[in-house]
Amino acid sequence: MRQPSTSKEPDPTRGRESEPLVVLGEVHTGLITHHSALRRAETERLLAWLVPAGQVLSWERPIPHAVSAPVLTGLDCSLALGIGGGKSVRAVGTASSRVALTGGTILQCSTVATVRAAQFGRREGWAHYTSRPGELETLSPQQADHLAEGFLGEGGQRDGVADFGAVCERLARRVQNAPMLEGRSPLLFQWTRTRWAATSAGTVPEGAADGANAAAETAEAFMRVGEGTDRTLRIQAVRAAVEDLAEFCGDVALHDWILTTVLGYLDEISGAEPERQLAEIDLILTRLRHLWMPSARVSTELSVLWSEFERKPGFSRQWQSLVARMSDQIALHTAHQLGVLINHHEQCT
Amino acid sequence: MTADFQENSARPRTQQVPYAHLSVELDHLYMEDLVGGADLDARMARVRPFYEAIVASLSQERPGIKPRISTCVMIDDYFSSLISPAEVLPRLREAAASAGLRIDYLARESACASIGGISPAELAVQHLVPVPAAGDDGSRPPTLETGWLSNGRRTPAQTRRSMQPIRQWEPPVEANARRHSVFVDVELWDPPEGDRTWACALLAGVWQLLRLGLLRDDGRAPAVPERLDESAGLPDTWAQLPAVLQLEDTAMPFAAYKTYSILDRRFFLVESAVQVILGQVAPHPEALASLVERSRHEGLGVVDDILGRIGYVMLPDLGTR
Repeated sequence: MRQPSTSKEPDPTRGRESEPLVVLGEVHTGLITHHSALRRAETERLLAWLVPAGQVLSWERPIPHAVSAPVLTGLDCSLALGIGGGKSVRAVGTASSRVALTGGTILQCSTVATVRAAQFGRREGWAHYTSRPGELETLSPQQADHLAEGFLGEGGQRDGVADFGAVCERLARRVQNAPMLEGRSPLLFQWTRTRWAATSAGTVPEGAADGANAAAETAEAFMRVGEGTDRTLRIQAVRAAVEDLAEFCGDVALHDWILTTVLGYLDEISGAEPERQLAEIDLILTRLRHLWMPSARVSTELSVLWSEFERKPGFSRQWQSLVARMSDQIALHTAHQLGVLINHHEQCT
Repeated sequence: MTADFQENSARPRTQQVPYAHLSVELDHLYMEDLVGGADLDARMARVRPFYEAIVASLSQERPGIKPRISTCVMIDDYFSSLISPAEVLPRLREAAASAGLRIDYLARESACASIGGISPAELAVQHLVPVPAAGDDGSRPPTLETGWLSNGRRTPAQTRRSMQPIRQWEPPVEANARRHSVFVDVELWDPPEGDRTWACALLAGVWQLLRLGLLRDDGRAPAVPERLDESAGLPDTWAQLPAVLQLEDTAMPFAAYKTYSILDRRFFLVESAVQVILGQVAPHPEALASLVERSRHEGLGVVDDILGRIGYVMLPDLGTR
């Protein structure tokens, strides 16, 4: 399959077309509204129902994960530009959306587009764009950084600017209203919204003995946890394919969502009756604990970025400490209950 | 030290199809033509020089090429089935032979609607990506009138709400207009709900996708050509024939990098609708990539989009003497 990427190597089937400037994406993360996790066959049925055209891809290791075929949305609108780039630029093409389910429970709707400059600076016949799924062409040449900053900045939210969020939301609503789901989730949660932009980090130095390692050393990522449930992620990578970038950002978004959800929950129940607290903690641990599986399908180049995130802020460190805190609470309560029981037993005998 | 791990279910599977350079449709016939005693000899005879010109165009594009060209005829058995294959096929093949032509494949239009439990027409509809009008930023879903597809933005509906004056008429707009619009609205099926009867325009679009080898059902190519054991005689009904019947053992592959259709002018409007439809069908990405790469590998030019791979010869009416 033709995979646009942040690479600068020319593709012979693309004639004289310009190289990709930036890959833009947004992913919404939440839970399916169903009492239990879906089994593999149920997951595949749901995703095939949602997007009948094309194949559902699924993984069993190290954690069940399935992705729908892509859905395309036609766009002819503005892309915001960062400081120094002017206000916006018109772009035409398609954005590509997918729905992913992890562990039969965590639902992610993502929308992605690779941006290039139009070869002739005009809108082409629509067939030009349907032959280039998930690509947007700017009608005037732009700097990659301006497009990335514009997309992630406040200008990226204005009316008339490509609204990936609305596309993700529509898709999420369709999933939640699917006839095979009950329409209700046992866990209260908020959707998180992660917008991301990836540009090329240049080229691998010539003579580098191991291209993949050299590429990995050049990769950079910056994540910002914004107001409420908004996050942004800025990536520079040498030759990551769009699929790899989307996979990486989806993975970061998923683990950030688990942390956000559990922290929010613990905060919410901190003043509640101990019995209720325990029931809720039990629910969290049963539903989410096994889903923590960072970097499961992330490419070599980008897995280095995961390692950096593990160093700072230390996603897994925080998760382990949260799990330990919840387990301690259960253990303490159990010990306390046991003490009460023993006391009661002694008094009786 | 490296270790790699892969799961088959995590990789898309796409069946490859063999390719000819060109697929040339020699005729497209309604049952009524055949019952009405169409002069098949005359029809084939007038096609011959245009066929020669198409063959020559390939050598002109790529001098020295050893041409792989397959020919086909489409029979419309979807809307009526008035005459049997046993009657039609021999007549058709003789007419071609007497004009110095050969029919490699015979296709049935109803197979574009449904064949072997799948619907190629439904597959095409599932891949529709409606053309956006200027300003479409994804915040609203594309406005889809069930069963219709246009090449732009329709005139807003003239609904009269109470106490409000009727708005002034607004013209429809072609999305890719060059100043002036040619707005086309195509009916894809009817009725809006329930079992669909597919429109001729959609089936003709599917026919082009099949000839370009660009349709896949869960990765599998539908309507692959089949041979028929003719020793047992030809069947009485069209439904007994495969979707695409291979008539000649030495035929070049059915699917091709480019298609030419030599048609009566009566198909002009339908084929315009085909252009509107196919311009909004996202071809199967792996199938398209394979077509583009293999065609390029054989030294043929890279074409921008699938419409650029579809050519026509529209013939004026065959006069009577």
